[in-house]
Amino acid sequence: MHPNSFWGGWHALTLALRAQVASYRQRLWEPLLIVVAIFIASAGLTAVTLINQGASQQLNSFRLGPWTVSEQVAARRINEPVTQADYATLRQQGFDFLIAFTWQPSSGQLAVDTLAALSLPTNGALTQADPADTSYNGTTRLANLPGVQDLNAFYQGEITLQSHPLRGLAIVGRLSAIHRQQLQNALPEHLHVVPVRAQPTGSNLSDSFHLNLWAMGTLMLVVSGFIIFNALNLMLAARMPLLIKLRQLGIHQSTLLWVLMLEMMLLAMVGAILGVVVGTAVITTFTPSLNNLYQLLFDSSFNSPPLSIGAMILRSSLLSLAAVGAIAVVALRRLKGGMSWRKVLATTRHVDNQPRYWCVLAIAVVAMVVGASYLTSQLAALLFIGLVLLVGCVSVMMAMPVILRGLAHWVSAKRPVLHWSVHNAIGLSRRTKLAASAFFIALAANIGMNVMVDSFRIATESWLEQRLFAPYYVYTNHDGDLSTRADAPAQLLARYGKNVRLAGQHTELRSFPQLPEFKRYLMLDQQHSDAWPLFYGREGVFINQQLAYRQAIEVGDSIELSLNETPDSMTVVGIYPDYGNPHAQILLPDAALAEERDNITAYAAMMIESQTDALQVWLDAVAPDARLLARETLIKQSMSVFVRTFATTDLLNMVTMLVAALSFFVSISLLVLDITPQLHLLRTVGISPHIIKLSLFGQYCFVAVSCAIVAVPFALLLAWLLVAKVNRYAFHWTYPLTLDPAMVIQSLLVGLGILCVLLLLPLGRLKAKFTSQQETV
Amino acid sequence: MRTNKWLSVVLLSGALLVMLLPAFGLALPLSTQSEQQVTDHGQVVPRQSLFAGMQAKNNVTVTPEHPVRLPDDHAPHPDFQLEWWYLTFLLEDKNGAPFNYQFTLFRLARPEQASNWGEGHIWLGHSSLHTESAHWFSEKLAQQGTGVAGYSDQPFTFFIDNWLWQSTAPDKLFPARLHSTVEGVSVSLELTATKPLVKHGEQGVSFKTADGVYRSYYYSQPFIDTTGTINIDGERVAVNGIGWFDHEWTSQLTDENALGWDWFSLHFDDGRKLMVFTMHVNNRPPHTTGTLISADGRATPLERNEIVLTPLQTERVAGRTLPLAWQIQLPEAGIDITTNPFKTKQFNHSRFPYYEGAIRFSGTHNGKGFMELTGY
Amino acid sequence: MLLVQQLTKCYPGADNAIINGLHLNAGAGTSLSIQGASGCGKSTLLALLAGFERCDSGSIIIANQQLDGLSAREADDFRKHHLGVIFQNYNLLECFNVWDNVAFTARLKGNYNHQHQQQLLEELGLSALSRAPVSQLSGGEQQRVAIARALNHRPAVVLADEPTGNLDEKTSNVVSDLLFSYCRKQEITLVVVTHSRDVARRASFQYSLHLGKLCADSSRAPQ
Repeated sequence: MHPNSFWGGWHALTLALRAQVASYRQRLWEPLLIVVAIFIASAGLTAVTLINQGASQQLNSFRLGPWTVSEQVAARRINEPVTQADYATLRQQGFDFLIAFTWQPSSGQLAVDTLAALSLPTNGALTQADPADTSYNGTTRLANLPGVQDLNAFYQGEITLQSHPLRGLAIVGRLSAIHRQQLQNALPEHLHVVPVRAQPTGSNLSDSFHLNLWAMGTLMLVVSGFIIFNALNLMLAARMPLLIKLRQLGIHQSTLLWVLMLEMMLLAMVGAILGVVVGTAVITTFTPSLNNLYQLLFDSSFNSPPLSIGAMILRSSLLSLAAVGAIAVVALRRLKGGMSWRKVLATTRHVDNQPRYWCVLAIAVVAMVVGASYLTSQLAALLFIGLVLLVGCVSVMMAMPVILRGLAHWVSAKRPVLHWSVHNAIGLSRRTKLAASAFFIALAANIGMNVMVDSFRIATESWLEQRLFAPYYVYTNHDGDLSTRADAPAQLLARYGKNVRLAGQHTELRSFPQLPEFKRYLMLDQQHSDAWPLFYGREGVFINQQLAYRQAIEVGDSIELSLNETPDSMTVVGIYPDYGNPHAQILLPDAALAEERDNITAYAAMMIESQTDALQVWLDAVAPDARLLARETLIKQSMSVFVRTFATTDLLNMVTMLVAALSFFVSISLLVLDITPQLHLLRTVGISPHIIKLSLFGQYCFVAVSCAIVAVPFALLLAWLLVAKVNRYAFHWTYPLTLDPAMVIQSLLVGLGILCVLLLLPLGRLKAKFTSQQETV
Repeated sequence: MRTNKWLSVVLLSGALLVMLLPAFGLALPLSTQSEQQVTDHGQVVPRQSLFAGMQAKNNVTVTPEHPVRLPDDHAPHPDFQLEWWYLTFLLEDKNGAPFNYQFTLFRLARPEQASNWGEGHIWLGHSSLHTESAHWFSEKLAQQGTGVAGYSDQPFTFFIDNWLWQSTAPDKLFPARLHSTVEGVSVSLELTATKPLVKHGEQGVSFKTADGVYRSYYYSQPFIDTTGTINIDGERVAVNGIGWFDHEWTSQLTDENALGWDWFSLHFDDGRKLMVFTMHVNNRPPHTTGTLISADGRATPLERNEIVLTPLQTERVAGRTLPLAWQIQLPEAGIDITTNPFKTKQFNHSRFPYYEGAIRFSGTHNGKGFMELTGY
Repeated sequence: MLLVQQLTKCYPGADNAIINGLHLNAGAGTSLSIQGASGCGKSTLLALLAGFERCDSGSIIIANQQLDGLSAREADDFRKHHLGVIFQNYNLLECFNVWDNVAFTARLKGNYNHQHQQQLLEELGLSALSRAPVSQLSGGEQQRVAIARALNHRPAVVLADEPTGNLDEKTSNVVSDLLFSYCRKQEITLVVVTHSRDVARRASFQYSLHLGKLCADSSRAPQ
């Protein structure tokens, strides 16, 4: 480049920059709001990222009784797995913090060398719960760790170390540098120390958890991108008149672009970095309470996420820079478009006026609704939800002006202020479409999830109500069958149980009373016409949804069950919901399982309240560990967990709504700056400030409501997808979708309420004056 | 966003699981507080069987027709439910400061656990070291057949993780080396037997009840000279002293009626050794028996009427009331001694909790030894 | 129709009153132009006449109504009924087409009359554009729309602030002619603040604002 032209360019650049910065003096709100928008997006992204990291720590680790395992000794190559000899050699060298483990291929359940785990120093966690506790006997002293299978139970029958090698040796606790070095020196060539990987496929719970975290992060990234791009877009709109003037004054287009980029980058970086810092601070503050929550709900920990503010800032900054880059393309097109701002406005063609776009959208919506029923996997369902939201966003962008036009048509011109409000709202809706999209996603997700949760709650409650048929239940580890005791003061029905493998999967066999009066307590989704006679005749069994969905078993199919050494072929005569159970389950008549006395853990007590004392006394004598629980107590306990869980997530949802609403608010605030001259005119022609504010607020509401109108059908589709597809493939159970209009409206109003409260904020001072035009251009 | 709710679905199902599993499947064991039985005489007796719950396999029995045969019987007896190799040491450093050490290996038959992973025998190792002020205790569990724990002969070798007990002479259990750890402390001992092994009861068949129903195979080596080092936090302490070895196997002590025992191994200053115990079995009178061993190693079985064991004083230890001071009388041998624990808190918080610790005695004779109280 | 007496306005912190004992009397159908250097108080005078600002002393009477002493609400009502305002930048309502922009004031006042508006648009040469979105109009057309809007509700007084400031000379002449002739015909008092001699020349009375007072312009052209 020629030196003169360089300096000339530089000069123009600084001049243009100064002109822009000078505008801050009068319109500080603009850059400030942009910074705020980017700050919100960045803080939200950071918070979600940190929550994800904290939560996925448990995916990259697993619980072993009181310990968390996050590292393992694993094979370098799949064909040279960790052997029993490797394990023995390492333990003989004193590496007793290594515990052999593998994953059950079907259920993904963890199987470990329980004895090695029990050998670990517990600091009293396992053994000293109660020094005088004498109810332990030799068997329970060597019992499995909760939720973990023993390797001995896993390596049975045809499952050998050759067919299913060890996955690795879990490293319990954190390795000191010395121990790590010693271990690495001791390891044979084919082994190395690596972090525990997320549990492999097959574990539905952890898989879907992982997928959810991934989706949550991705969604937040997309929404943040939306918000940042939107903010910059508004900024560009605000800058355009000045840029055109500067171009008219002879500053080159590329210089202007640079100036614009530079300014946007500065603002974006300030917002992004502030957001990361604040987001991090918030999550760090809440880590202890999050951890409590996780322990309460998930029996696992929310570890304080590894803090790398640098990486987080880098990510937020890159996202902002990408948005700045994208906006640069838009800006270049507009700058090329013409020297006149008015021309730029005039040439903007509205997609919502063009029928062919509507056709495309209609086809997309129809294809989406039709396509939804063909989803066959969890991933497909989740991706489809993304698609639904995308189509929803487009629909919102296109439908909002149309809805408002319809409204405008209907509003009489005899009420000029209202008339203007509605007409102006059409333009507002076009210019806030990006923010409206973010709000749409939050609102649709909120309503959809509320419908889903409400359906789940209703289904669970009715299931509990029906399934728990006895007024009281007794839970005990007592060996032997209490129901056969003649001296029992109340009728006890034993729930016999046995665990078997069905097609390699852990399957629970449970008994169901063989008396006709209990028929009505089994809620069935599908049923064979001769279900009960076949069931009583031991030719038919009922299976739970989990088993039916996992192994694609339908009513009428037969399954091979080996109850007493000899396999029997049984017809599936009904499928019942079994919410919350991760395992497949089969119900048999109680007589078929009556030999399985060892596994009786529950009895139904058919008695009236006045008998409870007698039963309690009797239980104290024959089975001191027994707990007697009323049916209502069980239902109440279960439902209170439900309420507690979703109270927390509702709060998280509200926060998301708040972020989306905030971005909406920022957009509106900026647009209001744009129409200030018109507002001044309204003052001039004698409209009071209150009326103008009311009118503006009305306009925001029009926009928000039109957005909400589009959101509702998408929300319902979303709810259906969640219930019928995501649940179906993630947890192998479904439940009926219950639509409570009051609930939908309530969710809608809460969402709109948050937005409206926020939108009241930008209604600042309005003054009538003649000189306004000089300030606003 | 919506994923918050997905997350919550997962959380909820987790929570429901926690709630419903106890309700429909796996009831958690609930502990009940229980007191020890106190007899009319105010004497505390054990009431809870230590190894109860393990199925006693009674097809192979302890019988004088198959007396203890050594050295073959040093090896494990997989047909029996329960077996232990028990070493207790009374060691001192060069200043005479005590280092009392217990090293035990238990073998518990769990045939129902046999799998392609292990052979269904659980090895349980206990390592317990007491000084005047400190107690270290470690417990290891491992399964035979995994290579992590077990036994091999030629030479006799017992191991669990990095604990290794290996004889250094062919076909003999002693001399031997013992390498073990206890918490962060490492123990390395050389064991030498100075007298022959001692079989208790009838040729090693030890009767635990008067009616002879409860029995075990039981032999000992009470004459072990020990030297070695104990490494505490990098500080090597040279120790030497005496030790006692017991090997016992049976299936009957896992019976839930076998409530527990009070057991003593005593080293008299005059070189004699005494093993006495009282066995408590449900619905049977306590049974006391023992073996008196002369300084040159000759063993004399003691009949129940030859021994009087009287608890003198109880103490609260680890939430239990334990008789820690005893009077031991062998009128025919002219022995009347009172034992006192080396220190009160010698309770092993194992998965199978019991009291095991050094004692001193005085009276007609002086000396020291070990006392074990189980079932409390 | 428009009577101003002893009008004084002093901004806080300023040394001199920006309007200082100003007198003005204009009957119905008369027009007056006000010229003056930038910052001499032209806009302040308009703001006082429109009731946007309060004077320190003196009185303004428009359409037999005393402006000072009106509450904010009464001032709003007063403007709605008696005042038309024209801005240099037109300040059109961008969401409306020409017709609705023009109709706005009349609808607000409640004297909207379709025929009257039709006639007005015709006179201002806007009939053909009545359904056009205002954003597609030229500057001259936009200002004509703004004028139509200021006149449609038949105000007593029209205040125009640099009505041709953004227009080229030819367009400026056309727009000024329309404004002045229509006001004269409809007996509306017109106050025009302008820098343009050409525009000022069309007024019945021409003043310049100097040191807070109006002076009759010596270069006044005979009507």
